[in-house]
Amino acid sequence: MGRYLLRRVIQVPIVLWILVTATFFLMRYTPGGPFDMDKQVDPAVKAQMEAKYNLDKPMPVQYGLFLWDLVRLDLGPSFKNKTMTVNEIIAAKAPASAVLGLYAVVIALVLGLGAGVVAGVRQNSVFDYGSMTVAMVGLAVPTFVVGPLLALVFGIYLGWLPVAGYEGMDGLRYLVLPAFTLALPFAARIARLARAGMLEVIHQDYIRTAWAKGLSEQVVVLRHALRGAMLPVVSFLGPAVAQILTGSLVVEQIFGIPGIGREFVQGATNRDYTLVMGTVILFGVLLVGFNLLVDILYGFLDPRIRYA
Amino acid sequence: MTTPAPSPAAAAGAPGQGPALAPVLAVDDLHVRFRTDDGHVHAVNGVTFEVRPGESLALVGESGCGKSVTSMTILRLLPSPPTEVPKGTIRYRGDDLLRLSNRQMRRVRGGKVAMIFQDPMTSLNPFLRVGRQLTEAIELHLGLRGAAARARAVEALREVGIPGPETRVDAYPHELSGGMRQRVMIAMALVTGPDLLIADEPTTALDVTIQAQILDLMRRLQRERGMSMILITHDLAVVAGMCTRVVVMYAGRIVEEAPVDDLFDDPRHPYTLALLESVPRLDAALGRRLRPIEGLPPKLTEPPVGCSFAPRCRFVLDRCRTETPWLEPDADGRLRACFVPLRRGRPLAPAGGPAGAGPAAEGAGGST
Amino acid sequence: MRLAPLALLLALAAALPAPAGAEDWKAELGPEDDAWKKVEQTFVFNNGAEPETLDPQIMTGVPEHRLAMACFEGLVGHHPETLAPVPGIAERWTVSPDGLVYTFHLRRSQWSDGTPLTAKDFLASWRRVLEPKTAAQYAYQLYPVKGAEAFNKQGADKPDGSGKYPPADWSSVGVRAPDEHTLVVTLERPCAYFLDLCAFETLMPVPMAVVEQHGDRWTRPEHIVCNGPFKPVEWLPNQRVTFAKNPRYWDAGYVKLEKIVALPYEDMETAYKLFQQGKIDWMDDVPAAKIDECKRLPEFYVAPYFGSYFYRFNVTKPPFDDVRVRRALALSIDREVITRDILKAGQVPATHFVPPLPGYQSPRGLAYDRAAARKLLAEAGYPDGKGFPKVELLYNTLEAHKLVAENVVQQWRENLGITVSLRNSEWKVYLNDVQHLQYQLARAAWIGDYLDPNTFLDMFVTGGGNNQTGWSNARYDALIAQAAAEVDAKKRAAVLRQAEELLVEQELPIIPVYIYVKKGLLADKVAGIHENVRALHPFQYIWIEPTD
Repeated sequence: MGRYLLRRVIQVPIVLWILVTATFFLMRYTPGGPFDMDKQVDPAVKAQMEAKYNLDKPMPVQYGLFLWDLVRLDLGPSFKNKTMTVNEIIAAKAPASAVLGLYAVVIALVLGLGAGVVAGVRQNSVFDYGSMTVAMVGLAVPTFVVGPLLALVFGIYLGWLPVAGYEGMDGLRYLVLPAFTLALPFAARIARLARAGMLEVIHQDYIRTAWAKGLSEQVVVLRHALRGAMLPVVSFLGPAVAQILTGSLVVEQIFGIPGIGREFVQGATNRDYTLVMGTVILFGVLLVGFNLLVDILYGFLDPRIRYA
Repeated sequence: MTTPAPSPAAAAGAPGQGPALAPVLAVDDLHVRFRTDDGHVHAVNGVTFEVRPGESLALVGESGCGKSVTSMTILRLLPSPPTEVPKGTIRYRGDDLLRLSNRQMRRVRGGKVAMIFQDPMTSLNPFLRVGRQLTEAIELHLGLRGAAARARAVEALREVGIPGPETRVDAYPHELSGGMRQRVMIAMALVTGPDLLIADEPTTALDVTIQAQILDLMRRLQRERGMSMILITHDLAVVAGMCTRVVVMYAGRIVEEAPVDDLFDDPRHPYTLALLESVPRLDAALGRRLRPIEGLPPKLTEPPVGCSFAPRCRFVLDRCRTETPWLEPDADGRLRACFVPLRRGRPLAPAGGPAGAGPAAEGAGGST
Repeated sequence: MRLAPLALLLALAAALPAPAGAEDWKAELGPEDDAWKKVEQTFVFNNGAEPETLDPQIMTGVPEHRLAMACFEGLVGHHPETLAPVPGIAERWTVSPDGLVYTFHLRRSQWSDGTPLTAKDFLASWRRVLEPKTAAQYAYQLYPVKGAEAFNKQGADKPDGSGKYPPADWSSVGVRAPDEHTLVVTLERPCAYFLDLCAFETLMPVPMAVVEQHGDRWTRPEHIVCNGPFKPVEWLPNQRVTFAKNPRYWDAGYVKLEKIVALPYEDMETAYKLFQQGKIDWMDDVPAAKIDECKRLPEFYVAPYFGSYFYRFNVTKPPFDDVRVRRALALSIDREVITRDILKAGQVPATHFVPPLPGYQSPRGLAYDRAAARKLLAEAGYPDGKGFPKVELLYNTLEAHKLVAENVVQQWRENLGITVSLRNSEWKVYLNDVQHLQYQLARAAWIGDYLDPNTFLDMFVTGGGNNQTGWSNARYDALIAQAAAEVDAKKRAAVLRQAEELLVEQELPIIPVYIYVKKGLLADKVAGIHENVRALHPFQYIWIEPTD
């Protein structure tokens, strides 16, 4: 296990370097630059702006400068946001996405596992069909429909929750609707995976042994079946959590959450090279990190893998 | 038409059993069927037998004869749709297990009546340590906790002959060999001190040398505890080594019931006879061909009419196809469900002496 | 004897604009009674975007300009109704008869940290704008000033490749501060709208000491120093920017609001929900999908806006190098259908380019005339559209643009028999393509920078950066240059009209489609927001009335 982990850990910087390099060149060679505006800028002025951000230097030099800054963890200034550096933007916005994301992950796990496990144990029951149908709907209906709908019902009609805004940790009620909206498609996937996993496990011989020992349904499901059923869910969680934590542009826009999801998209639209790079690196690190975590978790869950 | 008779063995006080003690388990006219999209599958059609204290009963038959279904039904381990038990009782020490509540049944399962299964690798939970799988039974049925439970688990492992049980108790199943796993299964089943152990093909998945060890172990433990055992198998060799009485099943019914020596020596049912002829024997003549049973067992999608074995039976009579034979003692008191009396592998002539068999021959015993 | 000095005084008074003390017009724009004092004076509005910066000299967008209006003030301000220049930091000014020298007399005022604000601050701030290393995108707003353009461009490559612009010294730029409260500006040539420019954000003063000390971070609430009616006190990125009344503002007594909160929501649906809950008092747009619902609300308003929606032709390639083809396409669009049925928000269909302005009369342009269009197309060699090459209309991806384009293309097909396909591109790609003339027809829009037709018309001079059609017309260039030199307002308006006539009746390098409107929702309790064509609403005129 140790050597396997070591190999995986070493891969991380290599993967990230490839990611960063590909993004760097893709961005630079995409048509349109950060200083293209609808009100044309005088070429002389444009040249000044590009000089300020080193965009007038030859590409290999720019790449070199960029890598040098990166190694010192300096992601550079944002081309669009003149007051904050990319480091500051990420530091300011990532926490909101992270809090929202964490909230959403918890909801997705609770709902998804709950529904999936029960549906699997009670196969073909009303609950099974019902919950899997809801899951299907949850996957099919896009966030930009679900979000405003929830805001309309719970915010405007019932008046129970705020429709938009963010107050940090003091205002967790602002996060309820966006967290739910964000969580729903993931909960649906988790439910289906948990159900499939549970169905596979529940017919195993060792479950029959557990019944034969006189254990109650609760113990059989929770102590014996759950661990095996969780394996497909855990695999899914790696990339899923990375995705949720880096925010969803749509949810953040609908509910006015000052998160990092927006920066992903706006950065690309604005050709804000440094900001795009920053967000891509953030996502890359999270993705690689969570995949690694998942692998470790897998080892904990399945003792047979530990010695592979 | 004969009517089903209550357990004749108990009434007759079958030879070699001593005074008739109250049976540990009494199965009476059990019917089990499964509802499928294509109709019902009648897996068990009127099975009646008993298990006495301290005895080991073999339940023998080919795949699909209903022996596993019967044993799983004893512990109610089959899922309730699609399984249906339209008729019959299963009395454990007088209580009908089929009528117990879930909670009461859970106390019986694993605590009073234990079951071990065929494949020890898949029958043990690969995610849990062996010790945990033992202690959960100990906690549930013996009420011990913590260190006491663990000590008991270690003891149980020692009893089944696992070396170094103090460390083995923390092992995962995949760290043990096949034979050791089966020992663990046995330990798990017996740690709670049940009266009755149901062993469903316990050695089929093991290789021969290990088989012998496991069987020895089971025999010893049974003797030490005075425990009853139902041994389900299709392997007649195992039966010969382990059991005192044998019940032979075919197509969901019992066709013969006899003490083990009698059965092997002189099978009284055409099916048992055919079965024994199809198995290699050390005392058989060299070069003698094995004789397979022609045909296939019946599909059980219809309730059987007449004798289920009739299509494959070499002694078949007309009435076999229309009338159902029930388990009854023949002239010597041997229990069999057949209209054709057999002695030493040959049908008896109507007048009572061995003579050429003929479709017209009628049984002397087992009259209405 | 005493009459002569009196007459002199009166004459002088007539020559000067009203001195700072006489603010009857200001009082008239204020509350009628004191009822407002009982109500919390907090104004919450949706600004539509997260501000990129609060530095008035670097900012380029409308949301940023709004916030700059709250916390900075230039030489002059805008009258909230007429948009005429009103005294700001300059309490009065004179213009030389040749229109080249502006003398501003500054009042005594302070920065929010107490340091006095003087003419030297303006000098230093304008220098910062023009310094090449500042890379201020709107530096060109100062180009009317003598020597400003040369100073700003020094060291940069000339576009014709003939070398670099020569270095220039700051002393060559026509702006002086003879004393602490006088600023003298000399222009390159007369500029009818120069005063309007003086209200523009780029020309606002910035506290140079603070800028030098903190660099790019000087606009953070903890560092910022400003001279306007409000001061930023909190900036939570993507959450809100909060302003508090600036007690050191020279006219703080007139300012009624205590607190302003600017929210950055781009999603109009979200803003609308907040408006419905009463959490915001003003949003200056409505969700497109809900326009019918919003129109029925009493808080809904719609007002003409200083912007023009049009299509550009790439006149360098056939078939659009033929003016007859261009005129045919322009004649065959019924704009009523578009504004009435598709956009539905009261946009004004237009066959002229410059939105309505006081003191200027646009030409009529080419009204919808199907027969004339078909005739022209036939003359150009494509009777009934036969043989007309396949052409493509480019627009940046947005549902509204798509709907308009689809309708226009359909009208062309029905009226002329030509087929025009549609292409939509992402914003930057679209900008890039249009700038490099990689298109045949392209959707376009222009919002005016200052209240004068020139901001629309000088786009299309030969080689103008915002021309982007490849059109070049010597007579047009001459007319624009002539208007720039003309001092008399009436004559100037006539010249500009001739230029616009050339543009929209004769040459048609563009097809005007409609004039923008501003639509939004404003809560009843908000007072002091007046309709004007640039939708500029300085915050010192706003207050909250009690709702009863």
